[in-house]
Amino acid sequence: MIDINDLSKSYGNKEALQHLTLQIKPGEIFGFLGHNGAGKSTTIKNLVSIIQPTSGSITVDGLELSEHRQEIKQKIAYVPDTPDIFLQLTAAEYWDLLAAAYDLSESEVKARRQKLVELFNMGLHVDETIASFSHGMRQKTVLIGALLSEPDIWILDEPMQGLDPQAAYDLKQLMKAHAKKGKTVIFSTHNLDTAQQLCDELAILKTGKLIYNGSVKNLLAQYENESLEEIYLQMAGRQGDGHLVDDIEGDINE
Amino acid sequence: MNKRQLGALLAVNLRLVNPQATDRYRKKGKNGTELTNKLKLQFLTNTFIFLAIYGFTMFSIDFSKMPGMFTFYVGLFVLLGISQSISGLYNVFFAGKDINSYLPLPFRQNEIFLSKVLIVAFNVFPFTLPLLIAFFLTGWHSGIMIPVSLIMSLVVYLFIMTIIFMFCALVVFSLTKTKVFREHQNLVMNGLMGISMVIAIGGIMLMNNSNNYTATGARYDRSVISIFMPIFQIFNVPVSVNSGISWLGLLVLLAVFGGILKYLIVPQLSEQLTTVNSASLNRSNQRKAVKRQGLNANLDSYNWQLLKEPNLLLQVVMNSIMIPVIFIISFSFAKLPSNLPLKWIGVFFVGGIAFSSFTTNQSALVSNLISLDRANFEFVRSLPISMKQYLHRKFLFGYLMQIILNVVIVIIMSVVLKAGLVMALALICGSAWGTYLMSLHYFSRDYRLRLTNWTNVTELFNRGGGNLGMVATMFASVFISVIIVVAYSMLLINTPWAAMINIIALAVILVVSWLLLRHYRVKFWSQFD
Repeated sequence: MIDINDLSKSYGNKEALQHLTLQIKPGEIFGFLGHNGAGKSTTIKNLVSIIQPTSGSITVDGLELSEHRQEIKQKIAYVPDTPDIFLQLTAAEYWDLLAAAYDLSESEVKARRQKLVELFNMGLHVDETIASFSHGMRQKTVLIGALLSEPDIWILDEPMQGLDPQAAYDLKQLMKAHAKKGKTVIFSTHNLDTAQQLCDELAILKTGKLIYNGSVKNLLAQYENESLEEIYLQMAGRQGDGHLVDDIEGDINE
Repeated sequence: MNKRQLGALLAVNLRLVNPQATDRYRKKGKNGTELTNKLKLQFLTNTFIFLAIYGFTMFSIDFSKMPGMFTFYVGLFVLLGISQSISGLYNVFFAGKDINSYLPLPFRQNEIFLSKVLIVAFNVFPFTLPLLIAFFLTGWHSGIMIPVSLIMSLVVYLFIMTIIFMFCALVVFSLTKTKVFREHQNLVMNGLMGISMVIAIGGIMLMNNSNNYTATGARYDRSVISIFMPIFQIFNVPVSVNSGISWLGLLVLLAVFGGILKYLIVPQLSEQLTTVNSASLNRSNQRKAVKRQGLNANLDSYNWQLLKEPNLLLQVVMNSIMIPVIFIISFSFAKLPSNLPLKWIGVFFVGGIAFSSFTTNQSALVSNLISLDRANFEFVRSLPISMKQYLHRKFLFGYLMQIILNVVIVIIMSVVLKAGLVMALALICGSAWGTYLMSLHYFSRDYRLRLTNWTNVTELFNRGGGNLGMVATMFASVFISVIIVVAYSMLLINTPWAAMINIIALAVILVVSWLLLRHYRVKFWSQFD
């Protein structure tokens, strides 16, 4: 169980996250939705110890994150929003590094790694440097690394970005299977269809504030005959400037 | 301490600081542990080669009879070690972009700390190896058996380097805990590195000028720097109370610094890195909009922004000026005669060229400007602008920066050495021309070895032969330059045909320059036509 209590984060004068309080239960796929700069990645970076909150706290299974980082990190697999990390390493070397970080034995990871490599079609590239990969291949490399260790909590920041349809489908299946085992999947996305397909619970953020927290089913029930996209745009989208697209399109046509 | 985790972190960092060697080995099919072992072996081999070179250069100095010279050497390289360590530690812990990738992973704090400090050590060792040689030679000349002297010098060298690293880590980590640092990170760190550099250069100049050569027996020596005398006594009178006290002093320093680090700094490492990381994101990235006319003005502005990479400028100034100056001071003992006649103008011009070949090295700005572009460089290729114009503008920008640095130093040197106006002008002109030729060489080298996915500027400086390569090039430059300048001077002194010799020298410079200009026009610039 993850408890986020009154979490705020400011960057200088800009409040990126304001008094966020929510609970994420085991066995749940939890999605963060929001425009760019809404606070999704800030929340995730707080959860994975990349940054510290300005105020508020996070507890994981009753342990305060600021006091038990090492233990909590051991329970988390994280995929960053940009997969441009450890570019000088080959894919295999990167996975070895993660195996060492999570202290996994060779026998523990070998079979699982092989299956993941096969699943994401990376077999021909294990000994190539990450720097030489396309965005999608980097994303697959980072995903395989995160899934190697089978920790309880997966935190995936826009994990579908750059993935081919097959890989995206497979990842969704893996996320569902992980949650089914009673473990937790937290992810952020801009893709509302993906959110609708996967999420048990949603948090919609707008300029750092939580504007909805609950199940997708409840949200859809509140707005009859409207799609998640329409509902989301009503809640988080721009107000009263629908003419902008027409203006730009008009300019182009001229 | 989990050895496996430490090994994995070290393996990653070894690849980061040796990008070119890593690529070379990868092309030969080396990967994983095999590659790591190759990189370690390369480091060891280079270290031995350098020990041999330093040993050869310093072999004739009998430090055992010159305590002043011994303490001067120790002071010189301790100061160099401190300034290099401070910038190195800040670089790997707070300026490198890779630390963010470690933060979410369950590595233990002491493993991250040790792996990073070891990488700093790998970078600092090549510059401080003369210390080891000085220790060994002193012990050997004082009558200690060679194997014992070797072991003693190695132990004392490692003790001193460890004390330096711990002291510097303490300075850097204590500073990064302050509120002032969190609010003004770049300003504080640039200030610290600036101060450490000024102290190092100031200290070196002070030591160099306090050479009231005093007669000790039949030999001439520098004034003793008393703070380093205990180290001299360890090697000069190994079996004595003074030597015992010196050993004890080193052990106490190790214990005190080690204790502070172990109990006060390392346990809070993750927390501190996360805090600093948060603070760095807090800073505003807004800049006042300035309207610029034309492509060149926009390119100049863009190139100027590239210099704002944290820590870059100081590293550049440090590596391209301070280290060459230290090496010139420590390995050349020539003094400048006063009231030189006009016939010496050519020697000064050549001296200027030689000086620029020390300072315009692989760490200079012009040698890294293309790689500083990162992925922008490939993107620019897709834009409808001339690549030749783009690179030419970049080159001019880099050359301008380098020439400003070099000319300022040459002017200071001319004033300190009391060179006449004409000789100073010849030195400046030689430096400006030499800088141009060297800039051409290193700019095209940057293109050839360009690295656009670096995470830390140190990776850029370590391309090619790495730090050891840089020291080797510097040594070769000093060696060849000294031979040329001495030979030229000897010809002027010992033959009556000064004008003829100067004309021949001018002709040689013109021909060599023309050949170099043609080479870079054909081999480098023409590929962008």
